[in-house]
Amino acid sequence: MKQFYSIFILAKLNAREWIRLKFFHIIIFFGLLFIAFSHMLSSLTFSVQERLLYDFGLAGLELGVIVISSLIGTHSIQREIDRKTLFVLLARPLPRSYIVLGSWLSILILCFLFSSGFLFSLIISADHSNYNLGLLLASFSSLLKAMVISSFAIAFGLLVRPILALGATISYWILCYSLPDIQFFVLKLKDEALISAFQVLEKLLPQFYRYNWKSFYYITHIPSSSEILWSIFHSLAWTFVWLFLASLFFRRKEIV
Amino acid sequence: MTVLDVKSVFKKFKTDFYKKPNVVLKDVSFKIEQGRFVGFIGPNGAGKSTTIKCLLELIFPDSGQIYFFGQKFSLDHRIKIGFLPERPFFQEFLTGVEFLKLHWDLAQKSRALFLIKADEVLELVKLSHAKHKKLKDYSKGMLQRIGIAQALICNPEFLILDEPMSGLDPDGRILIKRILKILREKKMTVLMSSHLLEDVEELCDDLLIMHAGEVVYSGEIEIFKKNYATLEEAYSQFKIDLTENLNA
Repeated sequence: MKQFYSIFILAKLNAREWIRLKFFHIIIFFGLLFIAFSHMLSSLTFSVQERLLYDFGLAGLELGVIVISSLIGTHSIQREIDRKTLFVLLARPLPRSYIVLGSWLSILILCFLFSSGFLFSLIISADHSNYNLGLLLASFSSLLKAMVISSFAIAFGLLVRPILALGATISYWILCYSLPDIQFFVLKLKDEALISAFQVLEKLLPQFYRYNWKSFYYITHIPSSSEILWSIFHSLAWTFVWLFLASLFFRRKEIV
Repeated sequence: MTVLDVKSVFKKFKTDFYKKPNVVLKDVSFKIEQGRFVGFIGPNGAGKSTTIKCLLELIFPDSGQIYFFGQKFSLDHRIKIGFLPERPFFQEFLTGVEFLKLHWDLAQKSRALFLIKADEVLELVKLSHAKHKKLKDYSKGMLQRIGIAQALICNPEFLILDEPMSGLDPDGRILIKRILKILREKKMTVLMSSHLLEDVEELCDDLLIMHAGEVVYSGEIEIFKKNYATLEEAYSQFKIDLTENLNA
């Protein structure tokens, strides 16, 4: 148990480091800007004011969380290697997988802080909101996706240069949402090879579109408990896969 | 008792896909006995830092074995090792005492004893007055000293210091040397890489010389310089002889 506490220490250290950097402040600034824009846009319409406010606002929340998890995920360990702060940490009795887990947990802490602040500001600025549970679930679904994206980003960040890993992570996020669209076109083409290829792709990617609850529809129509449970297990399974691979990549990585 | 036993370590780096790999360590073998202060010298690019990185598993040898206290290197051995890197790049947003606490906690030591130990090492490195200052406000000499405190805080049995006095002003060097002398008096086993022969001569019992990825001398300083007044003179002659031997 004492050993696992080291992961928490590393996570806290990493989170503290990123909180004081300008990058995180810029994300917060853009988050606030998103809330302001969602109010402006909603005031421009007569009939669907609430829909616009929450659709736009929650899109901003997910975007912020994804930017945090992909950017920090791809850069956090490489940054420590470049700045040579990892040397003394690795000289301590820590398995390398703890560095990976600590880094992942720190991203989760940052995403949680950002989404809590964002949601709180959105609810306060909306004067009165009757959709608190729906909003919480929407934010929770974004955090589940951040879990997967950050673990993917860490794994790829250990394989290639951070900027390439960032590109791969964003593509991965888009692809995880786009499976139904790809399926639609593949079925239209009626090509057996493409259909088989899609079936393989479907198994290789998390299905983010199945818990895309960041919209007015879902905050007014709460998903069932079985859907919520499925999304939790689905995200946890993918996160586990990517963290396992990341630990494997980092195990023999040479810190020159 | 042998603290460190390095046997036939080879290491090569591949810089580019199409280029021939660069062999950095060639059959490196040496031993360090308990209580000895070992000076690790050699020109730039000789393989000193690579050897140290291999010892700490920051990089992995292509072949060869490294034994700590008679056993193959494992995570548990790291509790017994203190390490100061060549340049003190630490988390600058932490205060001195927070930095020590971080390393104390990562070594899974009892929390109750932290303050006593922290005060002890801070006193040793003369940084008690600056323990609540952030590391970004530390001078280079202070960073080097907090680095030594970090290496010492978990009561290591073996200390690896990678150029602890490089880039320091005379006052900083004197202070670090004073700390290292105390460690020597305490009979701590130390491997100190350095370019400053004067300091090595003053502090060390044994000498380990590397040249082009090979260990070319491993033994007592007194034996190495027996016909010369200073280590510098002995080292200069040794290098001349070595070059002649290599050319022949």
